[in-house]
Amino acid sequence: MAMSTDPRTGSAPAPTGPLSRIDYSERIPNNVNLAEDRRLQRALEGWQPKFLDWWKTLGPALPTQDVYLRTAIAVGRDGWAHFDFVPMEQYRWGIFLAERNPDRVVNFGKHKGEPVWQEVPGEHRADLMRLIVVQGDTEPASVEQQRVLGMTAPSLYDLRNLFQVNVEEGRHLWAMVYLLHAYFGREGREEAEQLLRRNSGDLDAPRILGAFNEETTDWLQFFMFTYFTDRDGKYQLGTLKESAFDPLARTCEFMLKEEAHHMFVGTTGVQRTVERTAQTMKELGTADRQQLLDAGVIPLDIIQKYLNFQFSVSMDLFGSEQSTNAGNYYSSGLKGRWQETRRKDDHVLLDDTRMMSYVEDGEIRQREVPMLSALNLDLRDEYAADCANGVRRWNQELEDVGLEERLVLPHEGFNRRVGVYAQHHVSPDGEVLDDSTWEERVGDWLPTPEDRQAVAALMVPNYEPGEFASWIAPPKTGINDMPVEFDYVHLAEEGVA
Amino acid sequence: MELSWVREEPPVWDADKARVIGGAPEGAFVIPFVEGEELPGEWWSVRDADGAVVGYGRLDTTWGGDAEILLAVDPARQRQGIGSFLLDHLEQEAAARGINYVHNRIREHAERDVVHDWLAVRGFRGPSDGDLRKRVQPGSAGADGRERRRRRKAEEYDVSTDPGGRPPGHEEQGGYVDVDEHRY
Repeated sequence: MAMSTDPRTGSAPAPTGPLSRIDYSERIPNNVNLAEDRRLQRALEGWQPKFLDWWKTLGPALPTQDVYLRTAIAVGRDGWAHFDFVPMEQYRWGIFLAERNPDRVVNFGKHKGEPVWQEVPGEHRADLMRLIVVQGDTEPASVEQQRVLGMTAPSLYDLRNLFQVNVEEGRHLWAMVYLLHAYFGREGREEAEQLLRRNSGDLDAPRILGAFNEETTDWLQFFMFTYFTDRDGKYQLGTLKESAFDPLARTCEFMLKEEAHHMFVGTTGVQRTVERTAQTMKELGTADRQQLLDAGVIPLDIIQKYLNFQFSVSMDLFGSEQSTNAGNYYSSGLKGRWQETRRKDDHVLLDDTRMMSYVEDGEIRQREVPMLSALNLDLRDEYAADCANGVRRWNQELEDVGLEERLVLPHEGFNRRVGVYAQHHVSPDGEVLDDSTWEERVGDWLPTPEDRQAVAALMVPNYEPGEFASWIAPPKTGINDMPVEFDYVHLAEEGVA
Repeated sequence: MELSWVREEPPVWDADKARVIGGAPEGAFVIPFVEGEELPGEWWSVRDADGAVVGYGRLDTTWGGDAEILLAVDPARQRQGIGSFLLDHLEQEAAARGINYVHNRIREHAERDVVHDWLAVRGFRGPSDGDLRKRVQPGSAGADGRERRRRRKAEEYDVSTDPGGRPPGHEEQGGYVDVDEHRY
C-alpha cells in the first residue's frame, strides 16, 4: 500500500485485533478473495464504470482537489480507519466483510441453533434479495440528496465530514452490490443496475423509501438527516447483522462501524447549532425570532420544527406497526431484532404478545397484539429511545447557559403517513386533532417555506481554515487528532490558482 | 359491473376470506389464521352490487415507501375485471400513503406464468419466481391515470429531435420495445 508523504496526513492507531488485509493490488479493493473468482470480479469491474459515472453525475457537486478522508484498510479492530488526502473520485470504494466466525449459529426463528448459511437457500432467495435491494437503494440516495450542500458548507471541517459520509454511503452501495452479484446471478446484476437508475426525487423512478426522496435543503436538515434518518439505517443494519445469511450479516456488521461516524456528524452538528443559538440568546437576552436571525443564528423554534419533521419521516421508514412480512423475515431467520442475543425471551416469539397504541374515537388507546406481527414496532421503539439520548445532549447546551427552553421529540403519532396514525392528525404532544385544527396549527410544528428561507439565508459558505459560519459553533476537537483549523478540504480552485 | 371498495376495520379472518382467499390454488397464499383472528396490515374487500364479497386486497407496509400487496378474487368470479379493480384501488391507497413502490411475490401457483404476465402488463417488473415491483404515484393508478400520463409525455416530447422518431409511450401501442425499460 502506498503511504502518503504529505506531512498533514495522520493514521489510525496500529491494528490490535484480527486482520484481513485488503487486496489493493486489484482494481476493486476487497477482503473477499475476489482475485480467485474471475467471473465475479469481471462482473463488478463491469459495474464500476457505471458507478463512477453515477458519482460524477449525481455525487458531490462542489469541485475539489482532494479531501482528508478515512479509508478502510482492514476489517479487524482499529484497522479499518486510515486517514489521508484523497481525490474523491479516486476513493477506494471496496468490499469488506467482518471476520467470519466459523462457529456462528442462527440465533432466532425456526432455524435457531442451526449453522448460519454461506449460500442463499432457494426458498428465501426472493426475500433476501429484496432486503438487500432496499438497503442498497438508500445508500446512493442520500448522496444524491446532499449533492449541492458543499456549496454552502459552514466550514472546511464540516465540508470534510459531509464528503466522508458521502464516500462511505458509496462504499455501502458497493457492499450491497457485491452481495447481489456474488449470490443472486443475473437477477442480482439487474437489480445492481437499477440501484444506479433510480434517483432521489425522480418522479418516474424515485428511490424506494419515502424519506430518501426528500430534498436536503440546508445544513440544519443535513444534520437532522444524519441524526434521525441515518439512525434508522443503523437500526436496519443492526437487524440484518443478525441474519442467518452469513455474508449479509458480516457485511452489515462492518457497515455499522462506518455508520457510527454519520451519527456523530448529526449529533454534534445539531449540538453545535444549538450551542451557538443558546450563546446568542444569552448574550442578547432574547428569544425573539427576528433578532436571532438578524444576529446570524437559527432560532430554537425553527430547530424544533426541523427536528419534528425529520423524526416523523424517519419513523415512517420502519413501516406499519404490524406486518406479516416482518414476522416472516424473523421466523425465517432473515432479519432479527436489535441486539437479538441480549433479549431475554425464547427468540421464537410464537406465543409472545405486546401492547400497541392505535387511534379510536378520537383517542389514542392500546391493545395487545402478537409480538411476531409487531416487529416493525419493536425496532421503531428501540430507535425512538435512542433518538431521545441525542435530544438530552442538545438540551444540555441550553441548560449550560441557564436557559429554560428545551427541545423535545414529538409524539410517535405526529405527522405520520404510515401505520396506525396515518389516517389521523396527532399534535406533537399526542393530542388527536380534527382536520381544521391541524391545518391551523401545522405551521407551528413543521418548517414553513418562510422558515426554510430564513435558514437558507444563513447558509453562507466559509472555506477559510478554522473559520465557521455564524450559525454554528466550532467543534471541540478536529478529525483524527488534527486541529480544528486544519485545511481538511482542498478546493479545486486552489489547484488551478 | 358495479363494484365497491370497503375498508376493513379491524381486519379479521372470517368465512368470506376463507372462501375467497382459501379458494386460490394451493400454495398461492400463506395465511395461517383461525376464525376471528385479527390480521396484520390494511385490508379492503371488493363487493358487488348485491353486497357480496368478491375479492380482497391488502397492503403490508414493510418499510415506509414500499409495500407488499395481496390480491385475491373469488374463484367463481374471475375474469370479470375484479382483479384490475382491486389493483387500481390498492395503488391509489398506496399512493395516498406516500408509498413509492408496491411489490408482489408469486408463491407456489399452478398458473405462475399467467399471474406473472397479468402483473407484467399492468406495469410490474421482475422475474416470475421472484419479487415484482411497480412504481405508483398519486393520480397514476387506474386507466385514467395511465392515459393522462401517456398523453402528457407525448405532448411534452418533441419527436423531431429524436433520430428514432418514436415518442415515449409509443412502445405501449406495439411495434417497439425499449429493452432497458421492459428488460426482455
